[in-house]
Amino acid sequence: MAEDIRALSAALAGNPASLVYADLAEALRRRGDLEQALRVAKHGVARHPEHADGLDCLGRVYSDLGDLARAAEAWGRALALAPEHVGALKGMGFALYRRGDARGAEEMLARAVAVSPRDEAARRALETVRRAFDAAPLPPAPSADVREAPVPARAAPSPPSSPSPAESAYQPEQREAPHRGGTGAAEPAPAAASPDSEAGPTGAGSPETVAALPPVFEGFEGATADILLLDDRGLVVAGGLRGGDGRDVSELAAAALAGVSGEAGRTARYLALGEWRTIVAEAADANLVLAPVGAGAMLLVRRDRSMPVGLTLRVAERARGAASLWLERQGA
Amino acid sequence: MTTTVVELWTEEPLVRYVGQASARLVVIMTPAGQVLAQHGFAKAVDLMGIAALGAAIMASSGALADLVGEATFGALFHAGVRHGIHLAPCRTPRGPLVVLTVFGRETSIGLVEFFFDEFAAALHAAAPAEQARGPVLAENFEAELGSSLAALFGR
Amino acid sequence: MSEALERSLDRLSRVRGVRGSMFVAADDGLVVGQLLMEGVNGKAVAALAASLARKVGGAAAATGAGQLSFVQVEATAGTLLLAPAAGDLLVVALAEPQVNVGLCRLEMMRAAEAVR
Repeated sequence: MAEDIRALSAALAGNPASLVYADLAEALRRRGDLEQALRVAKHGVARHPEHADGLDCLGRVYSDLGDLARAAEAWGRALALAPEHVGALKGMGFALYRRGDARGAEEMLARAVAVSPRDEAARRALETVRRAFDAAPLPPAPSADVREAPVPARAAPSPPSSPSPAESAYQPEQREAPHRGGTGAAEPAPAAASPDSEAGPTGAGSPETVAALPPVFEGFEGATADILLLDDRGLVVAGGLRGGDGRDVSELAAAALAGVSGEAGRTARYLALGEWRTIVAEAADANLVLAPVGAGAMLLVRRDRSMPVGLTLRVAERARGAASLWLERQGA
Repeated sequence: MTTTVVELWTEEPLVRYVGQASARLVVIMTPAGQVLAQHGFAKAVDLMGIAALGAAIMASSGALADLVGEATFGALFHAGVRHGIHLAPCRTPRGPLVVLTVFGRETSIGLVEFFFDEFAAALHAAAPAEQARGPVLAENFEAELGSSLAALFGR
Repeated sequence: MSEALERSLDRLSRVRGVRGSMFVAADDGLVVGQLLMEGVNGKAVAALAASLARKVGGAAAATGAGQLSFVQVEATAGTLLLAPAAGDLLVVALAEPQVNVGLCRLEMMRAAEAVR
């Protein structure tokens, strides 16, 4: 570590405009030299205000110093430059979670997992945030920006197999210097937010919220919990999707699914497969069927693993028919 | 993120390539390091540095290929933790060019390589025939470099 | 490529309708081993299949479905099948529209096991 810092310092001294400042700041942060890390990171970001990696590093340093507001500001700037920056998404997720905005935290972490599905730290953090919802349903999302009105934090029960919240204090990702092997230390889950049991009674996915969407899939099993119609901008059109804990995750899912249609179309085109008709994805906890509906819309049907895939496909075909008919009636 | 070009024929292929490969930074340059087009750079000094280094790496790689009896080594790929760099030559009627691509974890070297082949073909198709050039004097080189940077950064 | 992996690809390629099969490095989108019919662009299949697997994997995570085990893309003129394997590899098969997906799936799961 000391040698890394020496080498990085020498590199930066030799070329003060170099982007190596971000690696140096990260190495200093990991060593615990937070004041030095802050100086290096601030100086580097001042020189390179559009360097998303440097802003992410600055966010981590501020976070370690306990200045969550400045950390969130740095991560926000990084995301404005690079909306798919995984480090900044995770960092912002952490900042929102600590602020008590569990919905906002989940959105950030879900985006991180969507960009980098193999990032185990992001997955674990997302699972922890979602488990924190188990204590009680969330109050309905306000019409204004959710981040301006943070959800009151809830007591997060410790899952039986996890360490206690005090032991699992979240640490932003340990970055490895690119030219050296890093320790690749596993990253613990986010710390539980401070308990606040005086939360509102209604959940984010309350019947009132879901009922506001058109009943396109009325009569289908899981009409508002397992069938979703979205457009190619990642916006929900009809139906709904609920998480394992009953929360409405329609918007998160729509945002993650939007890229799939484009990617499938591109793949089919380049591999001379024609037009894509369905994607069937078998996964550990559910099977998914994705299908285009007309121009610019996509359908998702989710079924438990116990339902045969062939049957899920048939259900999806019927749902696609219903969606197609409904869209025609809307003039879409 | 902006795309700016000195030679207009590079623009359409470059914009398409950046979108398909999800590249973060792209430089199209001559083997001498003179920049014809770029995407994603905010500062001239960064662009100059990267172009010079990229051209030098290609030149070194070419010299190495000569020594071991290869015509060329083709594309080079440097893999980092957060970024990768793809550096490859392409032939056009305007003359040989070098393309440097920096990409992040949202894409892959496989996609960059695949779409680079299409990009190289598009550059070849779009390039005008090379015009006859006079001898390059030191002051001409500086002036050309200066004017291309001015065109790229609007100064 | 090891003999076991070669045998896996060979068995998969023998399923009627399969035009190409390969092992792909999932993060890089690069071919690790392949068995392709004439006219199949291995580089394209590898890069695009890996990218699609990443996107579908992200969607599966966001919808609470968990880790992917198999993906089937059905299109008007062909089918693309993907199965994640150990070591960050993907087993990929490109096939005609009428391919026996069930049989392909079995062979691909077997091929994925062979990587362990």
